[in-house]
Amino acid sequence: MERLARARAQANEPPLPEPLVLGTRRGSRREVAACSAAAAALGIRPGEPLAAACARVPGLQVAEAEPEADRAALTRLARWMQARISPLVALDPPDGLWLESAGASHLFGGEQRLLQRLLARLAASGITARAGLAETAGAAHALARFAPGACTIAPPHTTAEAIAPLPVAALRLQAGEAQALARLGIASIGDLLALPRAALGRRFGLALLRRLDQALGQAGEPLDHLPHETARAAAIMLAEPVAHAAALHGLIDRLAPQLARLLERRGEGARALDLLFHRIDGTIAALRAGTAAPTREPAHIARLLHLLVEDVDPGFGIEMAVLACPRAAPLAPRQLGTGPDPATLAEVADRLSARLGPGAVFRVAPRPGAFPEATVAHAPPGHPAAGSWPRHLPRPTRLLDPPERIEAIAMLPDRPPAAFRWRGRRHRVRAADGPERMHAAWWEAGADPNAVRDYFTVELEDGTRLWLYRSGDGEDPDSGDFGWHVQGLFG
Amino acid sequence: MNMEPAPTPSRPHSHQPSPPRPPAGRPDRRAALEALRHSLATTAPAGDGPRIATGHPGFDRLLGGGLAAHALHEILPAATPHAHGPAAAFAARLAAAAGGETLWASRRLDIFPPGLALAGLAPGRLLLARTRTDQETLAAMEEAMESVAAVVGEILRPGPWLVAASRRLQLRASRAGTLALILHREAPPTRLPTLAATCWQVAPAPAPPAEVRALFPGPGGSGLGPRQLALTLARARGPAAMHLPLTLCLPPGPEPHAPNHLPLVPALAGGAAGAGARAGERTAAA
Repeated sequence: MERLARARAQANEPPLPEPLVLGTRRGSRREVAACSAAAAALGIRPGEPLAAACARVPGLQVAEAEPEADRAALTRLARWMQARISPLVALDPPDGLWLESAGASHLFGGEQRLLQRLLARLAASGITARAGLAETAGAAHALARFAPGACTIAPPHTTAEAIAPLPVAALRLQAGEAQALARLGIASIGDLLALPRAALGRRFGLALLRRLDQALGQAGEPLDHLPHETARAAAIMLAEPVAHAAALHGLIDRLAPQLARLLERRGEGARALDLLFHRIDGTIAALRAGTAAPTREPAHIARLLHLLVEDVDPGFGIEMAVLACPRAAPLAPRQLGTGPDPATLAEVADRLSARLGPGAVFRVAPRPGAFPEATVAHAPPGHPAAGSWPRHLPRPTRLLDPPERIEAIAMLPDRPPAAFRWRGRRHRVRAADGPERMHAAWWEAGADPNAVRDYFTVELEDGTRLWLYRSGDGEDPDSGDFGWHVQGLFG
Repeated sequence: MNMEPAPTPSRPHSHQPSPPRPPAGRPDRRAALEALRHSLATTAPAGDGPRIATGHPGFDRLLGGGLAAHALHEILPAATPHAHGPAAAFAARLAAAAGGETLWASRRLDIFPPGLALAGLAPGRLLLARTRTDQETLAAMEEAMESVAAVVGEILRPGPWLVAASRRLQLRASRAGTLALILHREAPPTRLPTLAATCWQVAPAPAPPAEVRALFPGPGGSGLGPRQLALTLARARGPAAMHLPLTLCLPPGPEPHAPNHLPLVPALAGGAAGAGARAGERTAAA
């Protein structure tokens, strides 16, 4: 449905009239494959006979469903996710994708942030998506489709508790099984878990038990992960599986130069690196590292991966290692021996980011903000900022964020307080300087255009210098409530 | 154009000619002494490498030519509640004096870059790292050392582990040619025997009396006058160790900051730390 809307929007065609349903043919009858939000509001559900829907809703628009195009779109989306989100992506047709978050969520600041950013990104592209994260593919599938929230995470070791309230249909049952269970009064997965296992097997067959075990992680479920494009990947097949950490480091040292040669031939540098260890039991351990600047320096690539590989569990043994580069940028060849290496600081930034997490290493740059907390912008570590802040105005070395309210009384409109109470202690002001008036960012949406702050530098008895401000200009109540705050600590 | 070979940095371990051997046969005492002196000079790490000069002949002599630029230094705020602001300013001044880029790592990154820019650390020279633990802060300092001119690590909760870590940092700093600063968030209750070359305690120096302040009128009153920091050298190696604690004063620097220079002056009598000021006077007279 949304693929259709996006395709029409891209082709500059007007959107199809509402309410809209997509029709498909199952056997001899035509039924509703998908319906738009407007149609759903009128009570139409997927799976309903198309004739009944048309009879109930006059003026219903019907378009033909195209399962092949849907599948192609899903594969394209999976490729995008493989390059941007996680190295391991598997298709879950007709409308789902499985992403392995282990080894990738650290780049986004945790699983919650990963899902939120993913959903926001999809929403911006016009795709309504729901996300579930759990320890097994089955449970994640159930949470994504049947949990009440659009973004649900089952904490580790609580998979059974997380899926217990969901309806049995969440277990990917065959047609008819869910209805049969409902006839017996078994509505939720929790009801199912409470029943004796042997009886369930006798009554419903092994398929139901297998789905239940897969959701709980008691049975394995191999996923068919999307293979990496081979143009930027190096692989080593091992005759004998290896299972100790030192061997993994050795594999990295052999793979990094291979990938570097591939990238050099293409004139590219890696922006992201995926390291996949195929275990002998068919599972894959995946790692992803990001770089601050395109690189194809084998030693740097290897060092980045050495930092991350500590977390990999070799399991029963690893039989294949693949180092792929899902995202690359052009990188011109560099002449040897011409001055200092400009990449070294970027390399340090990469290593620190790999160690500390994404966004933990950054630069600052002046920003044309109004109030002090808005005058500092964060920049990626690869780009040193030009320019600086005004040099003639006093600025503290430490900033309290948020500013702390203090109890102070001062003469209006432009005198500093003689004493104030801050953090439960009374401070006497020995000397003061000011005011420096700052006006709100009237050019930015969402800011109160009338807000004013008057900043004072005050010195306490012990020599401490603080940056105080009074909100408001001291005359017009619209400009602030005349409350005093501490915002900084001078050096 | 006059082409001159670049002066090679004097590193004790970079090139070591073999020590002169005493002549065979009759053992020569002078040659033996010379050999001993040579081995001492090549093994003792202190006293070599570039220095950050203070510009005051007395202090520079005591410190062996200035603060060791390729070494670890420790900065403590004074025991007053808000001295971590001045401590950050001193760290920024020192790091700016090292020239080049600075990595600033902390678990609680509440520094205000415009303020550090006033202390000489322009935003183009500053790389910030937000860490999760103090141990990570030290690891980040170690990681970055070979690529930046100065590393500053803020430690919130020091413990005995800091002693062993400081030995590693000191070794790496002298090998990589980096100025490393451990900046304590609070004055620790017990001073740890770290391997830092010097340990400084930073206190805000109160503004001068009103008559002096009147010379620096601010926009809205008498003004505060230029900011001075009272620095107490709490621990040092070499001859300075005889004169501790030694209180100096860091006047507001001339702009832009000259590399490898940090102007220190004797503390004013009746300044922040009265007892230490006398030690400073004694040095100034020396």
